[in-house]
Amino acid sequence: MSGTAPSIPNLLSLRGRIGGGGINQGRYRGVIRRGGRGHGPGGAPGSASAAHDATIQGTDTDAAVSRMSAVQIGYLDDPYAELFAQSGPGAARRLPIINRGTYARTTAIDKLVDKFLDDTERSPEGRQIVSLGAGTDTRSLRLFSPSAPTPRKRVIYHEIDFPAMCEKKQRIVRGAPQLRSILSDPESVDELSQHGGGNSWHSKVVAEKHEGSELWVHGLDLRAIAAAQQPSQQQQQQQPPLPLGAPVGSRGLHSATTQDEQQTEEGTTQQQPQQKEPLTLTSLNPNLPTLLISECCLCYLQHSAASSIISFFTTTIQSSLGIVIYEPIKPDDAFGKMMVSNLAAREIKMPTLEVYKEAEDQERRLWEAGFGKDGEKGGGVKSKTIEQIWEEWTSQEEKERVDALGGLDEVEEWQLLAGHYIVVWGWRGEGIDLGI
Amino acid sequence: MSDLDRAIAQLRACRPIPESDVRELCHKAREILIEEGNVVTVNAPVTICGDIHGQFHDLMELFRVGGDPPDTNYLFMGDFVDRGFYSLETFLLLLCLKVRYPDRMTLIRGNHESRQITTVYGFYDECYRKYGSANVWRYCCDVFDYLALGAIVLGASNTISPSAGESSVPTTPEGDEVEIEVCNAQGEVMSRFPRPNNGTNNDLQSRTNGIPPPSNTGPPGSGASGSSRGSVGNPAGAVLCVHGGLSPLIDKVDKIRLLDRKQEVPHEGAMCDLLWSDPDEIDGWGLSPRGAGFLFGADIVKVFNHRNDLSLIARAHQLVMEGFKEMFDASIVTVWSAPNYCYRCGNVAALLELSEDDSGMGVLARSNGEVNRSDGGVGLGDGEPQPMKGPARRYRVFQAAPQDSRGMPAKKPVADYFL
Repeated sequence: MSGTAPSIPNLLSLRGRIGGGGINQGRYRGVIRRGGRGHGPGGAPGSASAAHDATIQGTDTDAAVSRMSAVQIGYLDDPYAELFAQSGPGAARRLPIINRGTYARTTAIDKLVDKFLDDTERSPEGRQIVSLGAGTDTRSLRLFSPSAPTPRKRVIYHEIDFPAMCEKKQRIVRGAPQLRSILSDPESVDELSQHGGGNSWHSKVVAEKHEGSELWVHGLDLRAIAAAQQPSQQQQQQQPPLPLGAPVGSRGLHSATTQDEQQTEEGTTQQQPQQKEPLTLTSLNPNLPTLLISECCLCYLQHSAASSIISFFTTTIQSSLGIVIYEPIKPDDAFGKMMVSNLAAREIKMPTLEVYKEAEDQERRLWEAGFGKDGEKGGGVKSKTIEQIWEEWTSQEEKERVDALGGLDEVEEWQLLAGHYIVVWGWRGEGIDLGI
Repeated sequence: MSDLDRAIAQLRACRPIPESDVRELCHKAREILIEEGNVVTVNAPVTICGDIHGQFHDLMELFRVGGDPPDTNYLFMGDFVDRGFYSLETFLLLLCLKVRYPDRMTLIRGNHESRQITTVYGFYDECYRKYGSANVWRYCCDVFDYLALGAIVLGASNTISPSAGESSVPTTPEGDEVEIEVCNAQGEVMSRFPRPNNGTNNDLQSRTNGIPPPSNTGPPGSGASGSSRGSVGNPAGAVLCVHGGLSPLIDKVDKIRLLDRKQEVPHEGAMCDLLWSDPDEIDGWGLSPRGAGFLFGADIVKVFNHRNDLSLIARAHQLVMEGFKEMFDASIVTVWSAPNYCYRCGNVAALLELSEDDSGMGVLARSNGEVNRSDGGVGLGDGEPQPMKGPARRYRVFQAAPQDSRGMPAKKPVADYFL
């Protein structure tokens, strides 16, 4: 592009570092812990399992670099991306196909978040967003920036990620003077220690236009939520509330397998002492309309753990609830098989991909979790692949602008890649309608 | 350059050659290429290959499957560089082979053989990384400007020549003329398709990604092909090879010959279109989603082929999961030779073999496009032109080279995904 042509991340050049084995060597081994198997909730990381975890944890770094690349070339407007891209500006440059995908996924989730916030604008007590495995995601900063296009008052924004991740994010937020116009100085929050959590922190949103909004960052291995949720979930399975309007027979598959899987997959966690206090996230208000976001997060967990985490929120939140999930699909065609095998070579496993293989499976997953029609109240479940989102949600003007940036020249490859990622979303309860 | 064989050996081992050798090689290559016309004439037999994209080890697999140069006469339809990890070794090896065996190796230009595209898609960075400067990239780009824009294959046979000792699959019934044969990487015939006769049910469609069988082609000798060259033993019409496709500015092959090709690929115009366009299920011309070149429909191809006495257009440029894809009653075929493209797509690759017509009439084909002898389509008259009888095609389908042949660590870094 430019005369100096900063180098495209060349995977070959990472060979030595990848082989090196050190946690902090190379860009694919971040310090961030994320998903996967390994240390159970409440336990200290074991050395072998921690190493195994470490191979997966770089996914946040990967996403941050992709975000940085898309921002640098002009796909996305996000002045905060560079704060979190470890490699710094200049080193991050992805190919056009990746930049377009980063653009499509980010704008798609933004659109759903905006719809939720528009719908709940008049909610008297406010509303909240819960972002699972948020990592170094900058959505909260963009949302609460003084230059954000829309005032977002009384939004409680929760992010949940590994304690190490939260510590890193706090350090960056604290150390970036330009963020003082968005967030107050982070304050540590003492919570979740019984569940292996830590490093939680909290900031108030500074800008007057976003009056009453807050950011809460909870340091917690998400699997702790699954572990804490399981007893009550098993109870719940005795009397599962079938959502009205759910497709006939949609429940069968799930409940028939869940219990078995829990015993095998989560066998270690079930033997944890059950004497803990119930898991509560500070300031998570069960009576506020809530939007739950999983942007490539739940897919790294075992299927039963992922279900339990969703169930934690569907049972905790008494108000209306929306959910947005972004993750890969179609593991069984030629491209999908290669994707699974390539990611496995990086020791990235996506257990839920084997369960929710197609768009219909993803939609059924949300029906089973209680989204969709709910009596008199509204509700629904929808999905679109990234390819569809690009085609249907991106205006002609934006398409031309974005295409002029990257020169994506291979349509077939784009259709393959973008067809293997999906955004599935559902909502239930009064006052929100994500039917876009 | 007696060093040439040494350079070939070194590159075959996937080791770059010194910068000074690259400069000399590129200089020699330019001397050879400058003598070639915009449209090179190639005589069958020839093995036609599509995009390689720096997948060096898969190029080695291609040579294993298709035969080693110079034993096999190769025609590569461009896109040697970018995307893969070894664009440099790939292009330099092909260039060495071109200089060493200029009559057995034909290289035509793809849209990635361009300064602008290679700075985005990897070749520039690879050169810079491997040599510490952009000099080698510049030498290569200078060669790109001299690559031909297309090729015309003459003298291809209407019938498949048996590949001795390779096939264990039963041959077609006596008298049936095999039009298409698909082989695997071991040379075993996976399927055969006879040239359709009246009443013959040709199920090619199910085998080649939904392409309709060439049902419009008349039985041999019936004259139903719309030309008098349909009889058994006659060579097929000529085959035009080009990276992308047709251009609304080019109605005759001769017009390609008039272009000034020795330049960077322009953003628009005939030269750009030849390297960027794609066939599509539309009528006439359409805008390309690639942002360069055009989409063109079956009617365009059929009129063009008729006007230029072509029986087939072979092109590359588009990923095809099955390695090859015939379209528009087999009047155009896409050949894709980069298996598991970008180490991510999971596709197989193919090469296309056209065998030599042994009736003794091969090179007499009048349809080489070099002389303006056709009626330019004036005589099309009513209805859609009937396609000429195509050459017999043998596709060899192959997969990515096994990992252990790559000399790379077991945990090889892989392609990007959205995470």
